[in-house]
Amino acid sequence: MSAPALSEPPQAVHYASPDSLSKAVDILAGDPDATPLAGGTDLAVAIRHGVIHPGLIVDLKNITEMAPAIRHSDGSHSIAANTPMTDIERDHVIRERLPGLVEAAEVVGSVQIRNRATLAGNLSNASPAADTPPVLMALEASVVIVGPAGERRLRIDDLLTGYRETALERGELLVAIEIPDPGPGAGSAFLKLGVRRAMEISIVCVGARVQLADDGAISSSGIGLGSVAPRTVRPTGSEELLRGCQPTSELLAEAGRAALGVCNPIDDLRASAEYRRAMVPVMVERALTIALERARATR
Amino acid sequence: MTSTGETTELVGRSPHRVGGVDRVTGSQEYVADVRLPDALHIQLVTLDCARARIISIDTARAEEAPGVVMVMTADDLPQPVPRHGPQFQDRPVLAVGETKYHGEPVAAVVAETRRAARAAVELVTVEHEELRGGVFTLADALDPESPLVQSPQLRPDDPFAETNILAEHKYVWGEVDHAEADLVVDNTYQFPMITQFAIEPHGFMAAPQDDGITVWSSVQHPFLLQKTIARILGLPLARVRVLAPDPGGGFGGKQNPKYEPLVAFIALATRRPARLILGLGETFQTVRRTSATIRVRSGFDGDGTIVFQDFLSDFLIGAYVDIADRVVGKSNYLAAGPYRVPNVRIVARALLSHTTPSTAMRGFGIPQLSWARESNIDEAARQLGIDPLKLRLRNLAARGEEFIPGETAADGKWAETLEKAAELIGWDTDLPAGRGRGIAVGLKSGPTTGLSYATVRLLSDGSVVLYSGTSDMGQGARTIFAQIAAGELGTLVGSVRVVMGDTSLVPYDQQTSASRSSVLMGNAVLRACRDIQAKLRALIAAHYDLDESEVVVEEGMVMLPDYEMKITRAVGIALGRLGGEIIGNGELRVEGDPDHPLGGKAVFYELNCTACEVEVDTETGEIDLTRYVTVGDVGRALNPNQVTGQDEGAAIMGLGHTLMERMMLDESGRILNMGAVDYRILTAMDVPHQMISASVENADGPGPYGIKGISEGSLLATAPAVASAVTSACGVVIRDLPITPERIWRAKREQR
Amino acid sequence: MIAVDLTVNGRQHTLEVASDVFLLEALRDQLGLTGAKECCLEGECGACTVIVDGRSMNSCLILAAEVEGTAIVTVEGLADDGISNLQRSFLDNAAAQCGFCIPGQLMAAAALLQHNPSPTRAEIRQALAGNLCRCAGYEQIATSVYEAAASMAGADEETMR
Repeated sequence: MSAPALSEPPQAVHYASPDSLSKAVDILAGDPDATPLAGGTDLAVAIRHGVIHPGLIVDLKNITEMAPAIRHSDGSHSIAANTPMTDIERDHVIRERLPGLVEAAEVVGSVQIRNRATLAGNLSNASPAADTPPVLMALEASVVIVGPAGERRLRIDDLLTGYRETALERGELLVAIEIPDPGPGAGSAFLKLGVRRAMEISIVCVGARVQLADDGAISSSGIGLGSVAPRTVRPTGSEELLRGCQPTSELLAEAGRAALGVCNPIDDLRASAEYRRAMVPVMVERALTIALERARATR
Repeated sequence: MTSTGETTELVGRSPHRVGGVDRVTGSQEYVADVRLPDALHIQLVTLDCARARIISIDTARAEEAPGVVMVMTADDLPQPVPRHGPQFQDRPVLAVGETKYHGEPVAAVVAETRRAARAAVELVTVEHEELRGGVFTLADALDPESPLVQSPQLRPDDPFAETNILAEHKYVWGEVDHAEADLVVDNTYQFPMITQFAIEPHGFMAAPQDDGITVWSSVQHPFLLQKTIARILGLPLARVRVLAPDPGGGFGGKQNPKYEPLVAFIALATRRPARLILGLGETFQTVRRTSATIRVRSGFDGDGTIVFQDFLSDFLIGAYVDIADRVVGKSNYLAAGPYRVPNVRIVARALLSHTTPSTAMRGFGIPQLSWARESNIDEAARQLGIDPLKLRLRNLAARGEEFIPGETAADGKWAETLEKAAELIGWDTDLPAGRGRGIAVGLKSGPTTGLSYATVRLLSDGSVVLYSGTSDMGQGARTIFAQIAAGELGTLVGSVRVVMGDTSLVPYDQQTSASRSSVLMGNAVLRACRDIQAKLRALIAAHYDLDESEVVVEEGMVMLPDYEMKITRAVGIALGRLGGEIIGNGELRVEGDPDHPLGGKAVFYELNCTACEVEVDTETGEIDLTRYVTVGDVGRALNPNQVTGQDEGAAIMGLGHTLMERMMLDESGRILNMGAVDYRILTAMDVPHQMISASVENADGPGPYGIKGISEGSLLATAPAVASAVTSACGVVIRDLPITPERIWRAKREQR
Repeated sequence: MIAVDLTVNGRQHTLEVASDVFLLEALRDQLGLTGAKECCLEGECGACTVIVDGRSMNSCLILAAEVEGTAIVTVEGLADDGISNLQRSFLDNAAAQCGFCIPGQLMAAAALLQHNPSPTRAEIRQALAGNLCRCAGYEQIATSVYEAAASMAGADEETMR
């Protein structure tokens, strides 16, 4: 015999829209019921479904320091937290230098979602199925975090700590994403496997980066995998395997197989763990192949 | 004097949709857009499991919450709690004592605002005990240990009363057991639970009137709703006014009353208008298509002639029957499809379960049967080494052939449809490696009975007002009727006002279903126009002092012995000094035949041939639809643009159940993917790269100018055509829908 | 309650809303603009699409409070007078069947044409992928957008001559 737990009706929700980072940090640090709101494409659904009942919604969109901007400097690209995915898709430099990131940004939801959703939000949400973290991981991106204790930086690998968990402390906000420019001889790619060609949550998604040395060998690589573990994972074993080797299709296939080492997929509505495991080598090899072609083209 | 429409400018053209401007400007009012002052908002209270015993419902805390006006439970309803349903009156207005499926409402919160109603739902405490052993699958339903979904007392004389078999339908001709075949192909096919997923979730409102009630609903059958409400409330029909704004998509899911009786009781109890607008997720708990497991055993001669077909069809219907048993009975009657099969045995069972009551959905059971039969024929073609197109053509019934004993004969040159599809897909051309082609045929019978009335008023300036009880849910019925009236009465579509969706204004129509309206209501409209023409003829003859035989009125013109004029001019002359109008009435009655297994013969058939070309990624199992052809035998395309829209639309809906759609349940019968995130329908990006919709037009249908109904044809054979193409592309055979990448991958792996 | 100043279809409004009221409900219930439709309420169907400061967005996912100071266009404001070329093209191609998704489709298409006046069919499909249509008039909708773009480009050339 069971009866649903009694729950009080949701309390009145308050809304704040600070215009500076320091104000936002103060509010968020001081109120455990406060929830930051970026693009809101996930938060809104959670509020509507009653998954969360925030006492205070802190809208980050008017924070000057986080205003939409993509800056390109020597050797690095910086994307301010409030930059919507659409801006990333449309940025010519990003399109040329970081095609893998564009490919990931382009398949996040719909145009309507991408006009609203941000990389920062996609990362902060820490969904294992998110599209952009794998490629950001592969690209060695880091995030700039500001909180009550000041500013710090984290690599994506260190930011994403678990299933929907990040290393962000209370009051900390992700204010920018910094991506090193891969330079000549580098290429990136993103691939997503799903049942539908748009508006899809991946069965497996892969971001890949390949950096070639002058002699054509792989000097370094990066791989990120989504939907195969509680968090976005990085198969460093595959990266090690590739390092210093002349790329061959057999090598890339071996790297694909090696990527399974970090995968611990589950059965869910979208696919079985078994299928996911079978697809990891295929998808990793394919993403590496595309990244390699691009790397060769930029030399 | 029969008009063929040949000289009528408006037949075969595509004027803008009647109601189109409202649809592109946002001014089209759907139920949820209708604002009633002082209206209360309703939110349903449901349990988080399928089958439960309700112990008590405590509404006190919810009723104290701000804005809440009342919480209605079964105890607040007349006792015994009224029940309703189109086939059996089995569905209670609110659950009585137990819930039988996930989402069956146990109470309804009524509040001043929607937010207040939603918030208070959480304050209703339903003490309940989840009952284990619910019936969620066919195996559960056939297991003698399973609990009975419905009480045996409800059908005391039924031999199946002590089982979960609601009904068994058996159709037999010839001698299956004595037929000798060179090859027997015996396979079983699965078709999943699909939901209608109209983009407009169901909306209902009711407002008490001094002497009755007005009910708003996005319903396909307003007159059935009127009858249901009148019976349940004990009101004369004339005191129940049903307003049925054009539904935002129906697809069968809005045919029959659902929560209208509940909303009506709430409006009467509160003496205020009340509205219930479902969310998309709630529609999954309201309507679905019947899932099925179908075993087909077919016998063939070495030359591909079908010797016999033997079907065992198990259809899993829901907790209440709705119209699902009719779906099972009617579709299975056509299990053997458009072929000449001398020996047939069809045994079809409708099995009750603790799931969303399944109801009509576009295709009405035929997609399930086509999936099984056409896939089975495809296997035979492969085993016999005969081209699957040729094998089908060899067995296809010719026009006029009585391919089912005692049933309407084949009403089209069906081979033309197959040949056209084959030509458009390039059936005999070479394909690159990794690609494959498939072809399949679907046949559905149209309505078997019908009753439609239409009233048309020809006003003194030649413009027209037309009254019809059809619901225009996107199929474009308003436009079709306006075209008929405009053609017959010589005016423009823009000068015809089409009034629908109000039972206090429009004459009776049985229903909007089975692609019937252009044919049945179309004929009623045509007859109403002919009635006007006859009256006009008499008036004009009198005016010019002629014998009536000297006056001809047709296709918008009045012809006198030495003079002709348009009806728009003639009507003014005919009406004389007082003016006024000419009123025409039309009636179309299909009585049916009580001795026929379906209660009547098919008025027409919908025949479609689908051909497609796919590329399969053999590593991932992904399918790329490179080319897709659908051809329907439409009689005539009265409005070609609308025919294309219906045809492509049904094909894309069919690709949904073929490639990605299925409702998933957990072990408690909970629907796991209740909404758009995890239940996927095709997006614009998923449409085949090249999509070709074509028609065969021989003007051989029973509707005006030779038309047939066309709105369901192109989803009948989608799944078998795609599956066949997948087999041809990569060698694997899929027998369970949907054909997901994972299923292809698994089949490929097992093949290795 | 908070006050939100915004422009909707060229008219200034001040909305008095609770903090957790969404733009869709504010448009429909407070401004009576029922063109934006309610279906999935989770950004999956696109029926609620409106244009906010030149970009298409799901109004079901935006709090009313978030649109302070923005300019919003709904389907009711798509044409200054009568119907636009885009709307006419939908009529010409019978793209609206039941019509329920059409306001969203139109807003997504209008936003596309604002930044890409001559899209390819592939670009149109991609831009409208967030607008589900169960009547699945996808082909006729895409053709409508394509032809509207072509006719507008033609009209521009006319003007320039």
